Amino acid sequence: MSHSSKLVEQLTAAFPEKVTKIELSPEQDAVLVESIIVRDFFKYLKDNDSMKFDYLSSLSGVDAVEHLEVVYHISSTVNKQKLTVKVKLPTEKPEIDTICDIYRAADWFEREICELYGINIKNHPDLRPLLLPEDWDEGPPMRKGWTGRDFIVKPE
Amino acid sequence: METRSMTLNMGPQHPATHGVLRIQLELEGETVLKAYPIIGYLHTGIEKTAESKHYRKVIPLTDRMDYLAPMSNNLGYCLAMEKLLEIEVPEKAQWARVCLTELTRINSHLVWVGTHALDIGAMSMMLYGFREREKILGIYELVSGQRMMSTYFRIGGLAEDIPPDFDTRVREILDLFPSRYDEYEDLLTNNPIWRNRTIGVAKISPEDALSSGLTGPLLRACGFKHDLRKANPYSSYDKFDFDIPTNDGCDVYARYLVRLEEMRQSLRIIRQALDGMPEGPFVADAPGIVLPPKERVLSEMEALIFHFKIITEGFCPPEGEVYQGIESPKGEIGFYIVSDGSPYPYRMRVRPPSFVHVGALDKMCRGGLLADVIAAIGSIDIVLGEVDR
Repeated sequence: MSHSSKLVEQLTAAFPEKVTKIELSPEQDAVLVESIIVRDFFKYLKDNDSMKFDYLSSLSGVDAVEHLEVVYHISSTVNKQKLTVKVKLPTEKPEIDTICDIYRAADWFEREICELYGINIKNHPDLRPLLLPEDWDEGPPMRKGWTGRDFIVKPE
Repeated sequence: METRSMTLNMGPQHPATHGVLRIQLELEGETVLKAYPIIGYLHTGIEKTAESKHYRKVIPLTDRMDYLAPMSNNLGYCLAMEKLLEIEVPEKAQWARVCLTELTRINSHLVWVGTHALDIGAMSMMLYGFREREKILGIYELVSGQRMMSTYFRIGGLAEDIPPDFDTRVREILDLFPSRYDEYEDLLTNNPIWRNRTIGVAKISPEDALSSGLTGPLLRACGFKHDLRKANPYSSYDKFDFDIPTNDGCDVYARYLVRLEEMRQSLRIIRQALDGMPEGPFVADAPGIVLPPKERVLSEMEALIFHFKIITEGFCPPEGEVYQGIESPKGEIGFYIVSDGSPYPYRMRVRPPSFVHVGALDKMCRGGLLADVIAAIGSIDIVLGEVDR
């Protein structure tokens, strides 16, 4: 058993039923996390001695049509580990807790997914639009099926 | 006596913001209490546009994000796609890519040193930086026919073989540049005005830097020896011998020293790449994904069919997702691609380094002087095309 799958095992053991393993590719460790424990989970990732995940490299939104996904790519410069964390959210009223006080890098990433995917970030200190104009009223543009002025829909 | 803070609007058309960046500054006298960057003026929806393009047609979009480092962006995207498609890139293409991305690093740093010094008042640096950059743009033109938006890398390798006089032209740069770097150092490194304007300015603590997600020269100027070329080697970087410059200054001056040393290290890598340039094909043998050579398209039926199918229908990678981060001149540029098995990316997410760095601007500017905001913006080396995408 490789060193990395131990990581996933430790995480699923620490948060039973709330964290499950997902297969993306053989060399990529990935877990699916319930949205209610996101903050506890990332605190654990950051502070636990065997984890020490200190660097959030990216935070992305994905619209999988039947649900929304928030994907965190996170790594540890101390233990040289990488992890992909996924959180599934409902399409209607998606909400997730902020982690921008745990990882400052999440601040702008969260603002970005808030405006582009319409995901409400709970307890975020400042959710003003970042990339879109302040008077934007055409809905979150990165959602699938979104059409706005001048938007050319993909050919079938 | 009642005192009130003053709000000052800097940009979006301020020459020192390197593009259309606006910063709302809250000042008390000349001291910055708060800096609130406002971005989005160049938002072109590249991530959304990519969702309606065939995979190979996304490459030109990546050039247009960080237009000072087009080859690095191409490389990041191509590597991500090659990972998804499980394509092995021929050695020659890998080495040529290393050579060109290191030239790109120098290109980006030259523009940075020129504009950054210009902002602070060392006007002549601008001319010198752009004089040398011209040579690198000449190489871009030589290989791809384009001086800025080169789009030279393809999924699986390169668009065309490297031209015969590539080696001599790049070696000219290798011979010329070290003395030119010395000139920059003569002008800046011990210049008392430069030192006064940069040492101790826009500091950020190493803990904050890591937590804010700073990467590249900014993180290395906080004493972290972190470089994706070493930490997570891609494109044969593990076969090259080079050092990662670091500095513990955490300030604008430290970032300057790190970048200057990086330019020298890049020359080292380029020399090794030229000396050891392997023979062989410049693009992987992956029918249906890589365009067949033109002469075969004109003479063989099968090649013609593949050519036609790739151009009109694209190709379908397997379902799955991949994240690939590379060390661009500005830091970690990451490509997160989700495939649903169709010829179009289901999701193409770019993790731009400059975007994260602008997010940390407030942290750097607080408590400093108004004039130091200019030095801070210069030192993070932003390209707004990439911040906004």
